[in-house]
Amino acid sequence: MRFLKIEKLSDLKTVREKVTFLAGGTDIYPLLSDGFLENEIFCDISGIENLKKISIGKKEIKIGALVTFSRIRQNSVLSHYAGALVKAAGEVGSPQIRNRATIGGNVATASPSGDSIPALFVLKARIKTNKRTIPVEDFFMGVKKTVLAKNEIITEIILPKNKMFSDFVKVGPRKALAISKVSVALAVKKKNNIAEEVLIAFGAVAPTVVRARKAEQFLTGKIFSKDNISKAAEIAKGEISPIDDFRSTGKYRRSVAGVLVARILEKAI
Amino acid sequence: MKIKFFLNKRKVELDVEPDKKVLYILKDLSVNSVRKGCDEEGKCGNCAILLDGKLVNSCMLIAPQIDGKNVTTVEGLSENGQLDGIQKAFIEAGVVQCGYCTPAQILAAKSLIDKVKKPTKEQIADAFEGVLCRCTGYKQIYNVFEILKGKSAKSFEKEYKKDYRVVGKLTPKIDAEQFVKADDAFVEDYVPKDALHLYILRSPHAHAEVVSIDTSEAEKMEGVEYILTHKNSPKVFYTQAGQSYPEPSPYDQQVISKKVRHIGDRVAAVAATSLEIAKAAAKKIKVKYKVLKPVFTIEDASREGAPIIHNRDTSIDPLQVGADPKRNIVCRNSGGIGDVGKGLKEADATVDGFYSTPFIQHTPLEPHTAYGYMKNGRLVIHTSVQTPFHVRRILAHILNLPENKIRIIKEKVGGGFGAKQDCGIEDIVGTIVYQSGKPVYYRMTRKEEFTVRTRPAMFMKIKAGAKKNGKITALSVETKADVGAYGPHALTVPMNGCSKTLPLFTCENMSYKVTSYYTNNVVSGAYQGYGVPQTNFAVQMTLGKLAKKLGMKYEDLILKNIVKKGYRLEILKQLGEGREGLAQKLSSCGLEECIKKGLKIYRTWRNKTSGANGEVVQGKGMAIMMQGSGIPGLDSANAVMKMISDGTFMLYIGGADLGTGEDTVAAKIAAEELGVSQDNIAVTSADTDTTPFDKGSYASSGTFFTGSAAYKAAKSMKERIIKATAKILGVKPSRVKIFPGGKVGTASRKLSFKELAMITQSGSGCGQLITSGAFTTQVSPIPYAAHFCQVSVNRRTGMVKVDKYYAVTDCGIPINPALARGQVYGAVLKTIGHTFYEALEFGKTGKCLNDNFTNYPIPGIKDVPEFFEVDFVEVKDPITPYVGKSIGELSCDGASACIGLAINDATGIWLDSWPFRPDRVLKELEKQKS
Ligand SMILES: Cc1cc2nc3c(=O)[nH]c(=O)nc-3n(C[C@@H](O)[C@@H](O)[C@H](O)COP(=O)(O)OP(=O)(O)OC[C@H]3O[C@@H](n4cnc5c(N)ncnc54)[C@H](O)[C@@H]3O)c2cc1C
Ligand code: FES
Ligand code: FES
Repeated sequence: MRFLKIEKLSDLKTVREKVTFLAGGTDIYPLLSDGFLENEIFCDISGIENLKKISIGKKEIKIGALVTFSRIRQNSVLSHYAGALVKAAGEVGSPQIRNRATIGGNVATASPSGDSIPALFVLKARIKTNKRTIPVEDFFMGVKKTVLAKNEIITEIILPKNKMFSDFVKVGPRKALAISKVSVALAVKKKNNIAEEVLIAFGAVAPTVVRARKAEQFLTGKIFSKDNISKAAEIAKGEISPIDDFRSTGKYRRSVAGVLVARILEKAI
Repeated sequence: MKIKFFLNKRKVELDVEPDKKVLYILKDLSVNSVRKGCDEEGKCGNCAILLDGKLVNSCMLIAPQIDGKNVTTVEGLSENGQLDGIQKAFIEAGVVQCGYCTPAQILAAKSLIDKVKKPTKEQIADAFEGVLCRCTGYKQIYNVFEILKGKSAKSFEKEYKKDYRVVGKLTPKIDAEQFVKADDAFVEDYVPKDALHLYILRSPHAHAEVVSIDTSEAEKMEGVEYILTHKNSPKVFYTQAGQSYPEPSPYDQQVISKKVRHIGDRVAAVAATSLEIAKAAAKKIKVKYKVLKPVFTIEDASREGAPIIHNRDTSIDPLQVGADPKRNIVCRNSGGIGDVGKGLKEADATVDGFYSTPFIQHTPLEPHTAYGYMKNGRLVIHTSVQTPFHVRRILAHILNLPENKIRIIKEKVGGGFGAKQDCGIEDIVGTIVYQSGKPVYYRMTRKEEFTVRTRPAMFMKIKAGAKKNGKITALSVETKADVGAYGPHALTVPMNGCSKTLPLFTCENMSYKVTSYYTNNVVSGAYQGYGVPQTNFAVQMTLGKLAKKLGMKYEDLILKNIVKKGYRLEILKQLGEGREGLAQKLSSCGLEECIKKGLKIYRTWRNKTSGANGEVVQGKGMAIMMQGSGIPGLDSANAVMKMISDGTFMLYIGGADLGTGEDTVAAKIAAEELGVSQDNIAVTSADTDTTPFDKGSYASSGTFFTGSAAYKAAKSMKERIIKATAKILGVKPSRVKIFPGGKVGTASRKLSFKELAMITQSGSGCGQLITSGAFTTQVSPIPYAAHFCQVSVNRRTGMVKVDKYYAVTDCGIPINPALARGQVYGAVLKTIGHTFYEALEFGKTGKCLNDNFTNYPIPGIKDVPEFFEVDFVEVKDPITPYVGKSIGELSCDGASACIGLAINDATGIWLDSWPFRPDRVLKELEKQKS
């Protein structure tokens, strides 16, 4: 095991070997004690100040990769434009975890139960790296797999500055420190109680986030009536096929997913 | 790499490996307060520190990340030995129990209070959600913030017993200061650097024979000092169960046996200079197994021709308890009073039900730890155990040593809950220390905890019948227990389930039958409640059904059938622990009072419907319960008391405080009797060399047994004081009295205790005043309780939330009210966890799938019901003047039934197996629809 530390993004150019970035370490450290990472070279990026900023521009919001969930959760501007992300940030782990865990790390880890990810989907985020900018839709390849190339580093998460209603809900066995059995993020833009745009994303039900496109389509252009909401929820839950594990049955997750969609939509009325 | 940081404002410079975790950096700097409650998963939060004022887990940080930063731990809070306000508030609120999680909780409080002076309830819950505690139920944490606002504990905590000065009054737990400061307390705090570390190689197979084992490669490794396998392991059979001799548990175990019977069973143990080396060496041990067919269910175990798990020709059962190992039966027992068949015939309504409960883990935040060495030819073990004296006896048997060659010292225990009511690791640690002559330290991982001790899975068939007027005419319990690979507590756990439920009722026809089976599942044993939480759940749910069938309210059915003071519990004669039991006439019974007190509040709760389309429905439920206070006729406790030269006292008790406050209780009882304040009594406990014998802390015996021994020693001290004073003053003893505040004499001439001590201990005195108290009994007071709850059930998600919980308890006298209350909160919240989500899950090969806190969640502060109240009824019991009844186990017996009945009230469904997971609730709701 070896350690490098870089203080500036530009120093990355000097790094030749393939490294594993170390941000908050909350995903990495549990593996350390199991000895899984014995042959790894770590590159500590936690000192790069540039990646710790939240900037609210005219059209875009930029969240540095090293911003912790504690900071996202406490940011009052973000709660106007990215309700789902702020909510998801509050659901991550516990205070101790949120004080360390970064959004960049959560995205890079690409865990099916990564809570920020469904939120980023409905907020139409783009993932900016030192090489390119990738729409979130194209970023994830599978469980713990992303399009990131060797030593490609996430620098920012970019969100369009839309005043949309968005929310996130997750269900786990107990309140804090829960791994999601299922989570839902949803964003809605409406005019006169008619849905102009709807985005629905499910977490923890498949290897990567699943968008409920049929349900989104169904609701777009329709009135927010109770009837339409429950139909949309019904359609949405048909778009996923979660598996059984010891935490829960697939059937259960699916029906709860539907309920969660309905619940958020009802809030949006 | 070189790092610099400030530890509690003091500059530290170190050269460390960059991947070294801060947890270990701090441990090396003798910072005790970072406690490791999980396998560095970030889940327990007991290892928390403040990093530049922010709460973070030290197991989730490595060296470079503290470089240049400020690290604060509780060691830095108390200046010049003076406690910080938060530390004081924790003590005053009575929220310090075992103390293992306490430092992290204090830091959580500090990180909050430094930001917000008067935090809201939500902010408090938010700040504490990442620190797990298994003892306190979190509720009294809110009081800490009230105290910090300037309120006194007396404003929210009641006192009891008007005519007493110490008993029933709010006094600090005597070891609380040690915990809030993180002074040396637990075994891990005392281990010297030269101790060898032990790693145990465990079986990957559920059932196999070790055909060959080759340790030669491992032995060659530098740093490896001793390896134990079945070859050099003692051949003696014993039971690990910490019960009085002769134990009603089969002697079916060896330190390491040639046959492995569950995944995680011991195969070899390596002692080396570091844990890493021990682990690496264990990997080099070559083991050839002959894999045998495993059995994982009672059905498979009892099938004709099933694989035999224990060929026990060689082992012995000290008590014959119906074992039939060839059929995988560990033990059996049955009996009853009256005629259940007749009772059922007489009934106007009958019901039967089938209930099951899973394997559940205790998860004390401090895992099993022990440190042993040889000293002057004697084996000494410092350990975290509930039964030091039983451990000494068991080890003497294993090692064929006289007991006086062994010393067991119980250090502070970071939670036991029954997991440590055994010789669970001292057997292997003791063997290696003795055979190698070297000092050895062993600390189990969280993962290992899940493989060595759980609660047995129980399957209960209940039959009940009653007349139209509600009089119960028949009640029977038939329990089958899957106790897993070995049989500690195999008989007594399911039996106790019967002996602490049937005697709640005046029914004349009652019967029970219990059978325990070996399987290749994890080993089970004692667990707070000891079979009662499970059986009481089954019995009360059945009676709930019966009440519905009769068209009665549950509380009316219960009130009609409960026992009262003076009732003779004939059934107890049948329900001995592997021998004849003792029938008992109830010397006191506060059950009816508990119910009536609780009903007053319960009846004001209204069920509402809410949510979209009325998806959330509320329901209410109640349950009654009893426990014992130790095992009369079987267990015993002793205490010794000395007056020392300044007139204060030393109290030596054998009882093993596991963080529940037994030492404090003993001190208070002695102080009350002697008319002095609590801090005049210093307690030394649970050291087999220096304290007298005590059965240990189990079966709810701490307060009654150990407390009574302390009472007797103090009473005898009082008599000695009076006699000695009479002699000095030259008056008749009948004229001498003890006056409060440590004075003794006649109305006109008094000596202070200090003067008395100096005279008696001088060359011309009668010698130091030393007394002892031996306590045995044929009767023990029975504690009772009634619990009430209201739940919300979401019909669409199947999720259930406990909105209100109210527990009313007859524990005789709450000797230490804040601690007693904390016991109830902790037990109830734990049982809420058991009811809703705690259960070990196994894969096809018998491997546990959730042996960590990530996948086996335990309740956190956000799981505490919004309304969560505990009350006591004061009940006089002639058996126990101011000693009181038990409380800790009792309080585990009600939540499941209470919640189960409330869910039925809300929705009409009956849940008959734990855990009540939302998917199961939903399934039942769907079944109901169709
Ligand atoms: C107890 C506990 C509870 C948790 N609960 C939750 C939860 O409820 N919800 C949830 O979503 N998550 C949860 N997590 C996981 C969560 O903490 C992580 O996913 C976190 O967000 C990762 O961030 P980090 O900074 O700690 O990443 P690190 O552990 O430092 O890194 C994680 C991975 O991402 C890579 N990486 C990090 N930063 C970058 C970057 N800028 N560019 C490219 N690659 C990068 C690393 O190389 C590594 O592979 C929990 C973790 C723990 C320990
Ligand atoms: S040991 Fe650090 S969180 Fe458990
Ligand atoms: S007091 Fe919290 S774990 Fe024991």
